[in-house]
Amino acid sequence: MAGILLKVKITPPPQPVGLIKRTRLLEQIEKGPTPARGYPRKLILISAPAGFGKTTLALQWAAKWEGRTAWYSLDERDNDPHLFWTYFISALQKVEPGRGNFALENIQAGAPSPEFSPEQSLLVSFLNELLEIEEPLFIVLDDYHVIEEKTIQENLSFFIENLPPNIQLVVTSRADPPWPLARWRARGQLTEIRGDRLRFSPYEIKEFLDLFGLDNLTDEDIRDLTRKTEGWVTSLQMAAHSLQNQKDVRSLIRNFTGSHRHILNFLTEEVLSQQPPEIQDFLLQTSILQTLDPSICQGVTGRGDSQEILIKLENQNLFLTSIDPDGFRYRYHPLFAELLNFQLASRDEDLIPTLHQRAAQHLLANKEPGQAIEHALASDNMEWALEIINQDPEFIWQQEGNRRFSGWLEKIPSDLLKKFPRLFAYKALFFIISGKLKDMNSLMKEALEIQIADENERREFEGMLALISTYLSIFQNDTRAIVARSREVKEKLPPEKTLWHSFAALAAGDALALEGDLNKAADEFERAIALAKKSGQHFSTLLAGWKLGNIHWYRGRLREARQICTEMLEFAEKNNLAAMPRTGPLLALEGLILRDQNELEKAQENVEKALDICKPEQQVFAWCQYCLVLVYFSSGEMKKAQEILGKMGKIQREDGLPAVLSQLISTWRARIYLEEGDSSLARDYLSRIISSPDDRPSFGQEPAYLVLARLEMSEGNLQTAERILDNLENAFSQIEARGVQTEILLLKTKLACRKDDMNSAISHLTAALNLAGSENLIQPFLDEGEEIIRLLSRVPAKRNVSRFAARILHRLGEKGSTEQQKLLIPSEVTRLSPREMEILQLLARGLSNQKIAEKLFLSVGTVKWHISNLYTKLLVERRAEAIARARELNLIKEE
Amino acid sequence: MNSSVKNQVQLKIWIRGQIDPDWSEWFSGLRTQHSAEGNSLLFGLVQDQAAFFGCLNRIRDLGVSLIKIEANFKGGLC
Repeated sequence: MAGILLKVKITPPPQPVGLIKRTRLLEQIEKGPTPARGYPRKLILISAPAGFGKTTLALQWAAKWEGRTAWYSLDERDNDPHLFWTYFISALQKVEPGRGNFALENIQAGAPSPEFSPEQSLLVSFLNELLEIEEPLFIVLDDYHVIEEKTIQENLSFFIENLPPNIQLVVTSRADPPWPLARWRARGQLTEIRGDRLRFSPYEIKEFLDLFGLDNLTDEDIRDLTRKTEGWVTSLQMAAHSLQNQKDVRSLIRNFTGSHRHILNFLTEEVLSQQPPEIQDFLLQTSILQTLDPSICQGVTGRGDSQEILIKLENQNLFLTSIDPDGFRYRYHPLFAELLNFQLASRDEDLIPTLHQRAAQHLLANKEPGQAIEHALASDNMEWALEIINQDPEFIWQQEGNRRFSGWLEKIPSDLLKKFPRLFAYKALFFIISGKLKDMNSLMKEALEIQIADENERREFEGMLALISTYLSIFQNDTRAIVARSREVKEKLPPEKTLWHSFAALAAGDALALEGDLNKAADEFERAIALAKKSGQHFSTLLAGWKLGNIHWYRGRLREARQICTEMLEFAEKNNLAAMPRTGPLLALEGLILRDQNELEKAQENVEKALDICKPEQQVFAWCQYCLVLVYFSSGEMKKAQEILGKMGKIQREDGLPAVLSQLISTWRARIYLEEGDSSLARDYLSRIISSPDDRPSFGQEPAYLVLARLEMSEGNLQTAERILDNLENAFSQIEARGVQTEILLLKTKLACRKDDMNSAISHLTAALNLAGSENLIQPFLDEGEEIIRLLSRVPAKRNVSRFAARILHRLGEKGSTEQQKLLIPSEVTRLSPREMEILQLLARGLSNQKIAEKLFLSVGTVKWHISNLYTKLLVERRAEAIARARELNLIKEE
Repeated sequence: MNSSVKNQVQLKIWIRGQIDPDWSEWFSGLRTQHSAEGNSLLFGLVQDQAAFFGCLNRIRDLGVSLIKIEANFKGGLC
């Protein structure tokens, strides 16, 4: 996006010659209003109709603060948040090199994406960077009235509201921007220079005319001129031009002050008629151009001496201003351009399309397709414009931004657009992404009528339409259709359309995950990552990475999940995206993994950091809050967990949350109420999700069913609980979901205990250990509390299983709460064999293995084996720890 | 009723100074009429509200001073 920045847009134009220094106004700006206590000045607004000298005043201000003023000249094209902020920051960087790099890179990372708008967090981080600026800094936005885009208006309002004290925005505009001006005015934060103040006083008019050598005018002439021009500088300038070459100045003044004709109407003709015919033609013909340089002027007018003419016009001060200190680039004074345009239309209307056509040809040859398209459209040749776009739509989209690109396509009548099926598909894509669902049906119907002879072209078109159908199915929640349509995209669309493919892969992954087909979903997300990386879409990359990691986590593949998190966080770091809201979920996911492995402190740290980053993005923020609930729950912080659930509920009510997340809120509310002994409230929450315990749990509802099983068990409905667990076990028999399956087994263990069926209990527990051991999934065991912990030490010594049980107990001895640790002691100590007690005493006296072996008439190997058992039972790993722990437990008989 | 007629806006705009009749098409086809005090009246029908705002913008961009506006919006917003 914004591949080529026009440097002239962020360079203050050179000051025109023959300028009156507006000292009075500059002083007024300098003084400004006195801001209310605690409020810095923020905005200098120069608001007046065309031709009042707004830009000139801003330029004089910039000259006064040379080196501390950033300049940004706006035009219609800037109505694209991407482009706008890219230019804005680039302008600032000319004064403060490197400042805002982070925001700039992020803006570029979000591109090209149809729904881009800079997240507020990005502006916040940008503002924070600006906070470090110590010298006064001014940012000029010239011609702000061209901005209509709502996002930009809102962004800027927020930006100004939060501007650091050393920075002020200078805005010139023909209309007041839609900002809270009244509030800023009341706080004294706004300096306003409006039309009335910009008018030239008679004194300034005299000074101005002197510059043109018109120093022989009488006071009466000046008075007449003041009255007729109303101190309007553009008309004064034109008047000066007309007067310059007149022998009888007096009669001309009387002539136009006496006439009722609109002064500009009158003066343009005067100014033009003074020029030789070929210059008049040149002026009129080039008035269709936004910026002029010798070569495009030659292209449009056919004149080889265009450069000389331009220089001459500039020297004559004929409303042509240089915009580039280093080259021959100009633009007409905007008001003069309007008037010339008007004159052109009335003198030679038929020529206008031809002029635009020439301009387009020239721009096309100079590889500026964006501007060429505008002129092609203005030459009434829409088909040609479409041909230009059709050559490389993706490139043009990236260069010109969403708004312009989609704007062109929307302007074209359907019948014509159908001749360019590919562009028709782009139009549909923009429609659906911007949520114009109402129009989609008729648009798709039209699309299906398009006949394409060429086989490849037809497949490409069908592939593109399939992506649009994919999106339609997302809105209709039809997961089957999403999967089918996205498969069609994969089959039909040529592989080089990576952007479209990555959209399809993401959609398919989501749909497959919702259906519980985790393997295939993971495949799609992996594809999405690769495709998004290839097309340079960093945000999509992170999104797909998080989704993949989430699936790994759900499956209980903690190592793989951890790996993808690490990989993505490194990717974010490398691309300077680490502080972006989209990075947050990855950190939070890492927190979930840490929680599963009972690294609760680190988990909390991660999730809190994630929340900090995600704050501006409600939906992602809510997901991270859910992660925090889990961490708090495992840490026994029930109150805090409830508090967070309350906050999530608020977001849900105010902004809405995805169904999955809303259900998790109710589920965890129920789980915690149950834990606190309020089973009726718990049941209440669960009834929002589950209508009957015997329903087959659909994918995604299993957490609620698990809580329901607990609830039934706690109320003594053991049979219902068992039925629920059996149903769940069946439903999940074909799905890889280690966490869920472990929990089912642990609940079955508890159920068996309640029925005093210890054999079954141990066998369920063994199965759970078997399942969870390979990935070190510790937390589910600890979350179950006393009953399971006591049982763990009774697991038969099958190597892997009992080792994992010991690891859990060891972890508990090391990190568990004192209450949990108390649970360990009696069971372990009673299980020390007489031999182990004997060896423990010798260890405490500092004997080596060899010495112990000799003393007890055992082999060294046997001693080592006993010691290893001792370690396991005492939950320690080293000799010194074993001795210390034995002392704590009063196991050492002091002699 | 035809929707394009339904949404038309009846418009009268008084502006400072006399502008030439051939400026008319620049103001969405409004007709011009000069008044005795040396001002002009632009009047007629414009297509819809968007055209109305376009017309106002044009007046703004040409730096023409407004005296008074009278507009009758019978139709809806678009």
